[in-house]
Amino acid sequence: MKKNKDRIITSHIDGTMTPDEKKATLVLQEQANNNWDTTRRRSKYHFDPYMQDPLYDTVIQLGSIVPCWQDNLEQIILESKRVTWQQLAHWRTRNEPGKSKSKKDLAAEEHITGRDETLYPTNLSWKIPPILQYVSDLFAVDDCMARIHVQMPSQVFNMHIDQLYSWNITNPDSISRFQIALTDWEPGHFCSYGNYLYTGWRAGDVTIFDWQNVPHSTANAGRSPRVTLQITGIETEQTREFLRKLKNSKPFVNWISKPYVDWRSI
Amino acid sequence: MNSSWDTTQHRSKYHFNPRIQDPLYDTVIQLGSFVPCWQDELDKIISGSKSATWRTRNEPGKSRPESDLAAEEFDLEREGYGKDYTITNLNWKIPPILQRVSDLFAVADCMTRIHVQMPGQVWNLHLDKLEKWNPDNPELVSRYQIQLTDWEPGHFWSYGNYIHSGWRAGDVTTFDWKNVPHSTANAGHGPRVTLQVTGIETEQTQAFLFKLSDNNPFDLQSIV
Repeated sequence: MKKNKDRIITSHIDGTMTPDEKKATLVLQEQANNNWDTTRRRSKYHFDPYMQDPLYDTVIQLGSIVPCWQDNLEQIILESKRVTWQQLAHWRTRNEPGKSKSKKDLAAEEHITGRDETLYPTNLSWKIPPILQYVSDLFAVDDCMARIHVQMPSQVFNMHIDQLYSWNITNPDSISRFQIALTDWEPGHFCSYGNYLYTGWRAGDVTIFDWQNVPHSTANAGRSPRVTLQITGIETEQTREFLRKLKNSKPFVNWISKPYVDWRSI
Repeated sequence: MNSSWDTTQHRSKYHFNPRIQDPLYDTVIQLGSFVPCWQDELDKIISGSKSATWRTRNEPGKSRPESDLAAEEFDLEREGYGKDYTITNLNWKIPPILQRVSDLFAVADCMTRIHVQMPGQVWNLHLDKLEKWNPDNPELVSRYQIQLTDWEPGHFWSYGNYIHSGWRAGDVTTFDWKNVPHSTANAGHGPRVTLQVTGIETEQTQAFLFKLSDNNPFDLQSIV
């Protein structure tokens, strides 16, 4: 990721920028503007609340993993931290410790229409227990960021489009974000992908979505936390291999034996 | 300490199974729609709305008994919301055009209020306790919602396991308040504005609902 950015800066200086790099530079420049307006303009989504386009108004189901993290849930929830107190800080502190977004990006995000100081998107936990680290490793993405979203009752992650370009600015199509539900859906757990309202998931369900185009949001009006493992990174050949396995074995159990025993015996 | 959730769940006939879709309960009942004619009022309604908690959601001067409020706050604390959690904005000033709408429902002991759920606000899952309108025959108590704005992505509304979306300004709905747990949240970019009418059904109510379903959308101009 850093290599790509360095290359872009260098090529900009020495005038050897490739078309892809020029495009990437434009993306970075756009991010200095208003986030919602910028991402909306770049998105191919229809933004018509009365249309259901199966290409965009959906979440993509990839399979499911037999849940074996129940013993960890209480600790995960307890250790999760509300990412902020005030609205500005929410977006500022949601990133991986030591890897915050640029000041320009954060300033743009803070201008999203309708936000106010009482918005609490989610709790996050960066402490990934061994069993979930193992799950994360199965996805075999490069430059992996794994974090656990613990959306507590009352929290709202308002409508936005992700900006994951910094993972691979010259080839954003290689970037993926996977969600693994760690708890079952409950009434009051809300999740939207475009105009599609996703409900009824089971712990272990694995999903992905078109992060470059699809606006999405979540809220918890329920009676208990919604817990999700989120994995972001650059897809590799091993990623695709694992996704094939996941799709073909429902729910996916093959991996459990060795590592599961290993970490529990520590 | 009493829990409002436990009490209302106990008396509800709802299945409380997140895997079942029972058309009797996991639904909202569509009654028809009005031709919207309140657009000019919306800005004022929104700017004049005030934030409300469970304790302050009731009509000024008509609060519920302290025991009810305490039971609700017990749930809020237990579930992590905190008792001072803002659930929505409310506006009790009903402009004449919406008072006309409310009057058409012809309910006795009418309570009319406007919900302005701002982005970021969540009204947590609960069951209504409207029996106080008519303790001897709660079946006669009804609650109607008239949407004043179109649905937008991020506007969430659940009735049991059913998620209501895609409404248009003017749409009129009701639901089985005694049995169906429901919740709302606004993760969108604009407020969700809803006129809510609660009261005891009368014969005129029935007559109007018949007209509403028969003249869809119902044009207020038609009764001038």
